[in-house]
Amino acid sequence: MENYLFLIPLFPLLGFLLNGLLGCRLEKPFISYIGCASVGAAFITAVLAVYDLIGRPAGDRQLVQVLWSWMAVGDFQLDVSLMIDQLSAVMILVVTGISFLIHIYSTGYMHEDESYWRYFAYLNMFVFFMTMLVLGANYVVMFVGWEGVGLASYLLIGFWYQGTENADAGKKAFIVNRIGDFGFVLGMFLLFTTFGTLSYLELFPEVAGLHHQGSLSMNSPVMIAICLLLFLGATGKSAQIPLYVWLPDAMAGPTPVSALIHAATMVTAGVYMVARSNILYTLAPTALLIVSLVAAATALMAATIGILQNDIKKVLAYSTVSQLGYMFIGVGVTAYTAGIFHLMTHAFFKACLFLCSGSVIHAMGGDQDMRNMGGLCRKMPITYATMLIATIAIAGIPPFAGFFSKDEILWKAFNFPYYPAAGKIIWFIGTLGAAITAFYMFRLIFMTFHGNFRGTEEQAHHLHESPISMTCPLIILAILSIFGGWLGIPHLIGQHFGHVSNVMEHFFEPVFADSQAIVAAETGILHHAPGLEWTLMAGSVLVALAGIFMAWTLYIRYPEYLLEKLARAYSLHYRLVYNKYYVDEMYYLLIVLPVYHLSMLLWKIVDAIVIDGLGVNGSGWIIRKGSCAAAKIHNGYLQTYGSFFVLGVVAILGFLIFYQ
Amino acid sequence: MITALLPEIIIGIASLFFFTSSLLDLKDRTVVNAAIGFSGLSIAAALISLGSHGDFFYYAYGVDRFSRFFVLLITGTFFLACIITKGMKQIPSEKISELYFFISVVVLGLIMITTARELITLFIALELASYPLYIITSYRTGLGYQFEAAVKYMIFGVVSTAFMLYGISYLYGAFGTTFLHEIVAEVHGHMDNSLAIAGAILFLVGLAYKLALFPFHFWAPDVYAGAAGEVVTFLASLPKLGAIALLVRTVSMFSGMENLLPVLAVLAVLSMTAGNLMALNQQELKRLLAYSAVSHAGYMFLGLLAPDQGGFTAMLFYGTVYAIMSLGAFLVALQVAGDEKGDIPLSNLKGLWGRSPLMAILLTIALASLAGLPPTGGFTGKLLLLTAAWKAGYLWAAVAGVLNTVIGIYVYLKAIKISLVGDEEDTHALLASPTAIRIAAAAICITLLYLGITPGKLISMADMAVNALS
Repeated sequence: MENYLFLIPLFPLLGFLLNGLLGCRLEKPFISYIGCASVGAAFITAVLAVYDLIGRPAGDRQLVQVLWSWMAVGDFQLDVSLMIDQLSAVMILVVTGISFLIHIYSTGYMHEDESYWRYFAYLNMFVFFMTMLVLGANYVVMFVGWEGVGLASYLLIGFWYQGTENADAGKKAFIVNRIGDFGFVLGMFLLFTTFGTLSYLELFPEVAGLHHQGSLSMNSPVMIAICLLLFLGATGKSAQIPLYVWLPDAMAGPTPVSALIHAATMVTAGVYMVARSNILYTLAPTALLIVSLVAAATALMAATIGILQNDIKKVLAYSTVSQLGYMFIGVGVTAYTAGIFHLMTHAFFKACLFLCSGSVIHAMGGDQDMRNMGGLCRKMPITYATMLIATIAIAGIPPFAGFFSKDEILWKAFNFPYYPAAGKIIWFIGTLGAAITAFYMFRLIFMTFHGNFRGTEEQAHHLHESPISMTCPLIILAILSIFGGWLGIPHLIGQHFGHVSNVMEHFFEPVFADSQAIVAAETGILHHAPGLEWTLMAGSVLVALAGIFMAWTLYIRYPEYLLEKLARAYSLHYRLVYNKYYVDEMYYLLIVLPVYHLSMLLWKIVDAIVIDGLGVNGSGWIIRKGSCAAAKIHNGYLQTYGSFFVLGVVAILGFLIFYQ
Repeated sequence: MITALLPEIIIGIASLFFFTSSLLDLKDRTVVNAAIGFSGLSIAAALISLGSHGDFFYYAYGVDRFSRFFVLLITGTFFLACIITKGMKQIPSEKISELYFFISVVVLGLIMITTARELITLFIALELASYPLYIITSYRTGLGYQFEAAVKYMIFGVVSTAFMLYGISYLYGAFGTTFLHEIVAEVHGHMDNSLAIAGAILFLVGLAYKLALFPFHFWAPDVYAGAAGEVVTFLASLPKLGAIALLVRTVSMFSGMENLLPVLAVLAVLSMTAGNLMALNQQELKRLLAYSAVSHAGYMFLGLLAPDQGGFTAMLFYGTVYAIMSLGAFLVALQVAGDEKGDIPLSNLKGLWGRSPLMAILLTIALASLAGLPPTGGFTGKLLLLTAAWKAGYLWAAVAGVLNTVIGIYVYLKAIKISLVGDEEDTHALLASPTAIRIAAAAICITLLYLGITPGKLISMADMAVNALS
């Protein structure tokens, strides 16, 4: 099967080329067919590849295909090669599977759009780059995918480019990501100069080997630098403090795009990257501490912002930022399995939530303000049911998917092997965030689906359930949001149900084995009383229920009354949170304005006068004059031509004979 | 022995066939197909003879890896050019057989140039490859200045031949022999011999004329513009390959001569600069490609500066890429020429994207390759040439090359821009190219991109050919 790995990115690439080059001449059904079929084919290929992978013995689960040697300069050998191991297997299934569902959903959602073909071309391009990112067997191929998905994201955020706001959101996403990419590239350079290779299969064993020999100590400065630089890249792509600001604005794109790129797949690339580089991070505990603290801060801050947003997609956007924070807490406390596990379950329920919100927006005729909604559960039963399931999942109520993954992360954070004290703090922040998550998600459900409809007459008349092409993916994702978590049932619970094992942890064991061994060697294996785990688990469920109860009290039981009172009592906090802590304004004052003024100065003086005036136009002027002069020699007369010919010969001979 | 000379034999038979057919009254289609057939056959012959060795006529004619590499290149170019020109729109019907006869003779002459190892034989081969070109330059329906072009071309040719013959006589005077292997044996004793230096330079001047190197290029624009598009397609690709082969062979003999390489470096830089500058304001596609040939001759001369640093390999690589990309450009030129039988102004390219996306893609790739943009073969070739020149210590020449690339990009992007964004209102009908042309176009695109992304195979082939020289 390893010889067919190239098919996975190839199918979406072909779809992109077909739709992109010929799309404007094709019929809509055919465009949808190409768009969906190419991704479907990629999904099937991925399933076959993973099936082959699982059929192998656990130690030998690696499919590698070297496509071609990209460049070989001196010692630097770079192959374009693809690889599936346990980690990329889960990623590729999630990416292609959810992409396929969202492509189908898009055929319904985008049906009216004029640039239908452009949309599907971009979407296929995204899938192509995302599969390259996940399957790449070295950092450079990953980076190609990393940049490519950024481009696709930019194009799709500004898809409706007629509105300045959308185009600005696209630019913002692109620029903020560039800052992160800068760190990523530097991290790669540092990796290469330190270890001389960027290929996973060479680099990771080499790093582990060096550590065993004792020539690479724990927490060496170069490892910390590499990990932090790579993490800077991750904060850009995966929307963490300080670079998260682009993600909420990215909601300007079509909703399926938000579901696919800005919730389920692309934004999780940073988590994947850290998990992929687990051995590097394990050897740099300080970097891990910073990762997990940044992640915890992001998780809490984004959750609090989510409380007061009124735009249904904005709520989900901040929720995504917050949940990404949980994933980074997972990988940050060396619980790489838990991080990826949460990545997967989050992909299910967050994609479902976004698609549901799309369905709602579709019914509302494009209105996204929850203050105009209400009581939609009667008009849109399927959307309501699926969204409710996904909400329960994200709130962390057992036995839904989110419970298992989030709880594992919190439990592992509580037992952070390197920094136990910090671990307790992170656990506390995480649990607090979980309560807030439950609150704002149920606030969304209550404001949207319960109570009375608050929109216009026209909207009320127009309300309807979405077509089957849209509800079908919703149902599938809702089912996954229920059962997806059962892949990672903790041992504590599993033993009561006939020894159900933690499939995820077991599956990922070989990938993270080296890291776990290093952690164990450094800190010793920790044993805990099962009572503590039970207590924490019950605690996190209780706080989630408390959050739900709060939402019910404020938005169903005593609507308006309590809210206003609270808003008045805490008006300062209210305004602070409502305006997203003024982070955008702060960035504007501290970074954008100075850069803007500096660039104006550079433009007016350096660029306009020196470079343009003397450099570009000056040299252009010289070349044009030279061109005229050169053209003048070509006057068509043979005698002129002949003279030049002979003069040339004479000049050369003269130089050679007399200059010697 | 037969396998070693198989390409020569096939081309010889082809020329006899077309000589006969020019006396008969065959259909145009039959003749064109016969030409494609013969050229295809000659590729097969070249492939068969690729690994063979042999010395003939008392070492005057020696088959080796170097010569067979070029034979493969020449026959391949011949075949591709035959397909590209199969429309024969600008050629009078009764002249088609004659045209193929003369071109077959040219190809035979070029093969002999790459293989001959004796100065008089070389000279005869060169004449064989030159005279038919003067004649076919005048084959064009309508207009009138094709005759002017032919006469200019011939007079220039004669002058350069005279210089070359002069050079050969000097070389004979210095070394007392016309056999290259005997000259090589004695060349180290004659590094400061003025007679030998003058001979080498005059000999090289004759080749520089063939390659259209400044200031020996003056014939090129007038001939390219005056002759029929089909003729120029042959004329712009085939003879250059022979000239490159002989240049590499000659310079590899004389590269020890002090001051010879600096002179070549100056010529290279002058030629690329002059070519690019003159191309800047051209409005006619063939004329633009003529000046482009001048600047590319300059680039290729850079390879001669670095005999020990892979310069020859780079030159062979670039020669191959140049043949392919210029054929690509001419393919498009012939397609947009229309039936008016006049010149091909750049405005003919307007709205090409709407008329035929394939042609627009080919034009974009071919011109991007000529400009030296990645990921095309032209980029890789330029990179090889510039790094070779740099390693050999000619940093200033490499820098001049890079600066020239910038001017070149402007020249070619202008044409690409016209084809891609020109308004579609004043375009003609859709371009309906024959299937063979479309396949050739796609093949050229793919080859140029392939050579840009994975140049390894061709580089190693060129390496083997160059190694056969020493």
